Amino acid sequence: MDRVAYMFDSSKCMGCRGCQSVCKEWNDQKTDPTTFNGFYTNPPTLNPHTRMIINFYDDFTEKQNFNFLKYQCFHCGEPACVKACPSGALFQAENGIVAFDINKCIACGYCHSACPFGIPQIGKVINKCDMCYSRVMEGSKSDETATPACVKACLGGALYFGKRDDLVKQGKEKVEILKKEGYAEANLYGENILGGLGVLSILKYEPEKYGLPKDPVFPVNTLIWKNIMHPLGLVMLGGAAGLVFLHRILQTGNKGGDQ
Amino acid sequence: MAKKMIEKHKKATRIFHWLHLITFIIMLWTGLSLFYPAMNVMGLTFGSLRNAAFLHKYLGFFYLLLPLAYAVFNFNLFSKFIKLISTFTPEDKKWMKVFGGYLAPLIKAKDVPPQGKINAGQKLLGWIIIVFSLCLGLTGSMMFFYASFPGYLIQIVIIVHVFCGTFLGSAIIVHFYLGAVNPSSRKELGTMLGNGMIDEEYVVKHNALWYEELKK
Repeated sequence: MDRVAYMFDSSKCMGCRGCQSVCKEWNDQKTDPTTFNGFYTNPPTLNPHTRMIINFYDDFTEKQNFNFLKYQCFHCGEPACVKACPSGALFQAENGIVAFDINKCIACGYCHSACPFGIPQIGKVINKCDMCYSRVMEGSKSDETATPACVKACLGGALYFGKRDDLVKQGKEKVEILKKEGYAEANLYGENILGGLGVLSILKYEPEKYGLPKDPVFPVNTLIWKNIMHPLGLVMLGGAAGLVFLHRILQTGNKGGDQ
Repeated sequence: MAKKMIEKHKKATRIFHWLHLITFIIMLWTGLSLFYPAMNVMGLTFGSLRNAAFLHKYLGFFYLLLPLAYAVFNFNLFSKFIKLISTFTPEDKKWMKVFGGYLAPLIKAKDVPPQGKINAGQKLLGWIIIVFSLCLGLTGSMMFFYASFPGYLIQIVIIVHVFCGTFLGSAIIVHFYLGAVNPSSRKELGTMLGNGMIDEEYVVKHNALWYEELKK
């Protein structure tokens, strides 16, 4: 099955936050009252009932202009959260979507700590973008119920949904156009990092300016934990149990005298 | 003729040991069910894995507070115990060399050096339990409040936590075996989980130095 993805074009986004509200609506999430702390991003961060936000930036250029980033789970090709999840609640579907089963979630928070972006939010159970898993898997193409809610809702045409390979090609072309227009730092975020992100972002400026890590890597600690500590624990526990078992067998017939 | 009995552990100590033992077993059981995906089914003993995780998180605080309460309310016993496990005598060193004679076919010991109230192995175990439990408590508390710490730190803390947990589990398996199963030392079981009494003959053989002390 081909990997699906969606792409966010920050040069087309106008910050209407239609995607944000339709995400709440489709996923039936509680809404927050608006807060203002000096910047327009609202709610200020992801939280256990907010799967995605549009980040606002107004300090990239001297002449004030707004830049936007659609911020949510990026659906890594090699998801650390799935590796870290102890209960099998998180999974990566064949088409690359990193989704979850809330019935299995035990709210341990390991996914939040393992994620290079710290995305998964845990209230009673995990919450994060699942690329509208139910829509993509079961919707119909003709009336666009098979596209994620945010993509369908986008007014500015800043969101694209489709096969990942096609989107990468399309995104690179767009980056070239932006470079010609004078945005020297323009780049396609997520083409190769972390096994290739399932959410691509066409950015006009360096990823760091948007608060994104430039070269995030799969956390090596999670590998040590899963690939070394797991067998080591078994060796220690099994070794101790085996040792005493063997000792007992060698002592058979000993009724408590000398040893 | 009835054997002369000696009280080894006071009632407060025995109650504390019982409570901590039960807590530890539940913590180890639920911990393992969370650690190994293949052992997830162990969580079903508490209804579901989610319940097991909930229990593991909150019982952890009890696991930490219980020894603290014991130390505060029985400060005399506690300080005596700490003093006891802090003094390693030359005899203890010799004892460690032959593992108290417990590995008889492997390491032959003609004479096991005389020991105090608790032997060198028990002293070592005392420190293992204290140090590893504190480690588990610290790392566990950090994992409880994971959102307040950067992700990479929690990842390291998880590694420390699972190592301490499995190591302590292994140590307790040996502790349980020597105290309750091994023929030559299983009488010790009654001193902690029973009425606290042990017969004189056993003390003379296993805790000669302590016996001398008591005679004075």
